[in-house]
Amino acid sequence: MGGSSTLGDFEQLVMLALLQIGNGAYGMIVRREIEDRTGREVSLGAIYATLDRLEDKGMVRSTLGAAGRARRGRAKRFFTVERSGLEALRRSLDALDNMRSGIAGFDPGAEVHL
Amino acid sequence: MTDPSSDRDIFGDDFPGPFQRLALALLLPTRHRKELVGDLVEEAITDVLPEHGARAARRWFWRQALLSASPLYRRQSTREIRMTPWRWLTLMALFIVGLFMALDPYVFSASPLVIGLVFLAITIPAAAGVVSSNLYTLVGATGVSALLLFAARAVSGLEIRWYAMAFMLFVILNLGRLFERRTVGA
Repeated sequence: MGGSSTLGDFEQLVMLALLQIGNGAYGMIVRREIEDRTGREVSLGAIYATLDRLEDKGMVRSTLGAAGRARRGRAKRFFTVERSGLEALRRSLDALDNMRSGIAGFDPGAEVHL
Repeated sequence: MTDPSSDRDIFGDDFPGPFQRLALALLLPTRHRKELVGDLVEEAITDVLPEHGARAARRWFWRQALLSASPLYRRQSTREIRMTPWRWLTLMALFIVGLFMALDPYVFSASPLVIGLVFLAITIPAAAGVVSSNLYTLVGATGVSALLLFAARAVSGLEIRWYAMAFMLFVILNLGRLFERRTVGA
């Protein structure tokens, strides 16, 4: 699945957060990663909804971890990026770069002055 | 200043308590609810509680739960429409027929008893179709709906075309669903 599909804005953020975190990425950590890096307040529900959609598309995979006392017996769900997810993310970021290319001040790699 | 002992009381081992769990069950859809609540409990206890105290942590917890409800329900509805289209078709068809029924001038001149019976005859199968995909529940709801329609007919002795049509639509759509379940094996 997801042969030629691209990702939406929030899907890209979630995928990039998963890649930044690497192993042991779960809802709360993904939310914190996005908030820390973008300064944008995000609800945990939005994170889980997006991860669920990406999993349905076959772009991420989830596994249930062990339940801990700090979570009052509720297990963590860990997420990892699949190959098709990586490809879709690359396509989406390339498309954005191509669209930015040639626009003064927005060229990929160029410093933006507003 | 916050009292650390009261902090421990609020976020004790049984947090969220029975009433809070009920509130969360009503607020959040089932899918991923456990993991999400686990995440919120963990963050409330490890991050918010030590820095801002129990009251703020509790407020933070419920605010996050409230904010999470909308995206999760949106996601669940799109997922369910894709996975069980018959259920949603049934609901939509019944809604449209119900709308026509409401526009039928006869309804406004009928007695409250007849209106009540017809209303239940339409909403019971609609609710059953949305809440459950269990065949016995659907058959039971159809039977109850038919009895209510017969009762409405017996009480009023008047034409019940819209209600009969709603009932038939429900039966036809559910036969379609049954066929889909049998062939797809869902």
